[in-house]
Amino acid sequence: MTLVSHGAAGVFYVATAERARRRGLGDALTRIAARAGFELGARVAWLGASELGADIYRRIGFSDLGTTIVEYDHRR
Amino acid sequence: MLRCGPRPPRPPAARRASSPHGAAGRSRCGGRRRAGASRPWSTTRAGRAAGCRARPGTPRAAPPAARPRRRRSLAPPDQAREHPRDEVALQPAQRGLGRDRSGRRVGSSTMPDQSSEWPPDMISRTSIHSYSGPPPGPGSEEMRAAISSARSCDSTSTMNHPRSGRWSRGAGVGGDRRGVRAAVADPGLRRRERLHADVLAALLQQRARPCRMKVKCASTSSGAHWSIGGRKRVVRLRAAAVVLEQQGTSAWSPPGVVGRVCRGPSPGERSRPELLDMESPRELRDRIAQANASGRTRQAYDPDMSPMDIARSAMLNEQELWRDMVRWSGGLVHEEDGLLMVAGPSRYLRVAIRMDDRVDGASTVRRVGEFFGSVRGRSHRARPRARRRRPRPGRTRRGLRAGRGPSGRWPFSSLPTDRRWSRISTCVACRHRNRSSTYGTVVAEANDDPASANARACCSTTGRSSRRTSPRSSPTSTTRRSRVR
Repeated sequence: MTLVSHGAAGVFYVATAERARRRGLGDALTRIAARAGFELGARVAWLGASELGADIYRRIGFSDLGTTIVEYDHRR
Repeated sequence: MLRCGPRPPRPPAARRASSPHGAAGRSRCGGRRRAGASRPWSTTRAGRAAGCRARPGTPRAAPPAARPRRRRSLAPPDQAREHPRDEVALQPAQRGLGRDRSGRRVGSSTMPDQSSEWPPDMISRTSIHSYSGPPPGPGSEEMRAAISSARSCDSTSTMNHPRSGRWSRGAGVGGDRRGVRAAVADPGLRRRERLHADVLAALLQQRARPCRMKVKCASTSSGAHWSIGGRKRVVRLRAAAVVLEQQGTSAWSPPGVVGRVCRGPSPGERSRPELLDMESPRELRDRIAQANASGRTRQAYDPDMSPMDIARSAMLNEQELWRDMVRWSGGLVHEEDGLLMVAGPSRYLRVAIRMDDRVDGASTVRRVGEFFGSVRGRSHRARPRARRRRPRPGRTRRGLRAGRGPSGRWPFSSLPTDRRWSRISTCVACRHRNRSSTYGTVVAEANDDPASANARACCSTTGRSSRRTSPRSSPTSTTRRSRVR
C-alpha cells in the first residue's frame, strides 16, 4: 500500500507468504509501490523494514534513515 | 556340493577386470558382508538345509577388512573357470536357455528338469539373497535372478551401501553404472544395456506401484529407506540415481514423481518476467531529477533533501497512515499536546505516537493508558449487538444489502455514515488516482495472470460494485472526530 502525504510516499504492508518467498515478489511489490508514490508527486519514498527484509530494500535502493522501536502489547 | 572358500590367486589381469560393486559384479560367496550376515555358512538355516554341520569351535567370520576380497572375473567362462563351483554353476544357465522359433534365447535360471539332475534341496546364495534350487550361472542369469528378487517386495535382502553423499552428487548409490544397469535391466535383455531415462522412469514407476502398497513410512532424508511390511528393510532403488543423474537434479524424489524435472533457463532465455526488471526507485529519482533540471517535466522533486527533512516527512506520513486507517475502519483519533492516539475497532489498531519530544515518557504512558482504558470496548459498543446465528444464504444476501456482514453481524465499519472527514475513493483498488496497487493485482501482473485484467476492470467500476464484493472494506466508516481535537 502506498500513501502519499507531506511529500513522502509511505510504503506499507509489503509481505510475502512464506511459501512464495525467494521469487522476487516482495521486490516487485516494493518497486511498484514506490514508483506509484513518485508518480503521485512524492519527493521521497520511505518504508519501515524489519531485519528480514532490510536487505531487499537496500538492494532496491533504499538507505537507512533511522531506527524505530516498536512495542507490541498483546495483553488481553 | 558347493563350497565357499578362498580361491586360488588369479592373474593380475583378471583382477583388474573384475567389478568391485554391483549385484552382478559381486562374488556370490564372499565379498562384502553385512554384520548380520557374517555367521558361518553352516549355522544358517540354508546352510543346515544344505547339509553343513555347525562346528562348535568355528570362529566367527573375520571382519571384511581382514578377509581377502574375492572378485569375480569377467573373463569368458571357459577361460576363467578355475573353481568347480563356477563350473557347476555355469551348467544350468546354459541348459536353461532354450531358443524359440526366431532363434532368440528364452528361458530362465530355474531348471525345468532340476529334479532329475540337481538335488532339490540345494541351497544357493547370491550376493543379495539365498534360495533353494540349482545355482544360477554367472553373468546375465545371475543378474536376472538378482533382479527378480530385488524387484519383488518380498525380498529379504538388504543392500547396504555407504552413504557418501552420492545422491547429492548425482552419482548414484553404488557409484558404478554397471550395477545400476544390472539393477534395472529388463529380464528380456540378453546383455547389459544402458537404458534411456524414460525407460528407467517407466520401469521405476511400474515397480513403485506394488511397493507402495506395503510401504508404511518413507524417509527420504538419506535416500530410499523404506519400511516395508512393518519390518525395517532397506531397499535401494538404484535406478533412481541414474534418472536423477541424467536429469541433473540434486535432490532425491520418490520414483512416482521421478519425472518431475526442474529446468533452468537456457542461454538467451528469460528466467523471470520483465516486470521485475523495472527501474529502481533510486534510478527513477535520479532520472526525475535530471528531467527537472532540464525543464522537461513539471514534477517537483528535490534530490537534495536532507535526512532530517526525509525523517520529518516520513513521520508525518506515518501519522497520516494511522489517521487514514481509522477513517476506513472506524474508531477514535485523539491528538493533544504532542501526542497522537489512535484506537481502532481491533486491538491491533491502537497506536500512540509521540509527536513532540518535549512530552516526557512517563506522562505519555499515563495519558495513553487513560485513553485506551476509556475507549476499551467503546468502539464495539458503538455498533448494535446482534445475535450470532448460523449464516444462511438468503439472510447473508439481505444482510449485505442492509450493510451487515456475511454472518449477519454488523461489521465494524457500521458506524453512522458521515463522510465529511473522509473524502476517499469508494473503490479499494483505486485509492490512488491513476494506478491500482493492490496486492492481488500486482501478483497477477507479475505472473502474467489474465486475472490482472479483471482486477483493472474492477478498479474502473464504481464503489457500489466493490462494496458488493467486499463488504468488510466498504467505505461506510467514519471517524468520530467530534471527540478528536
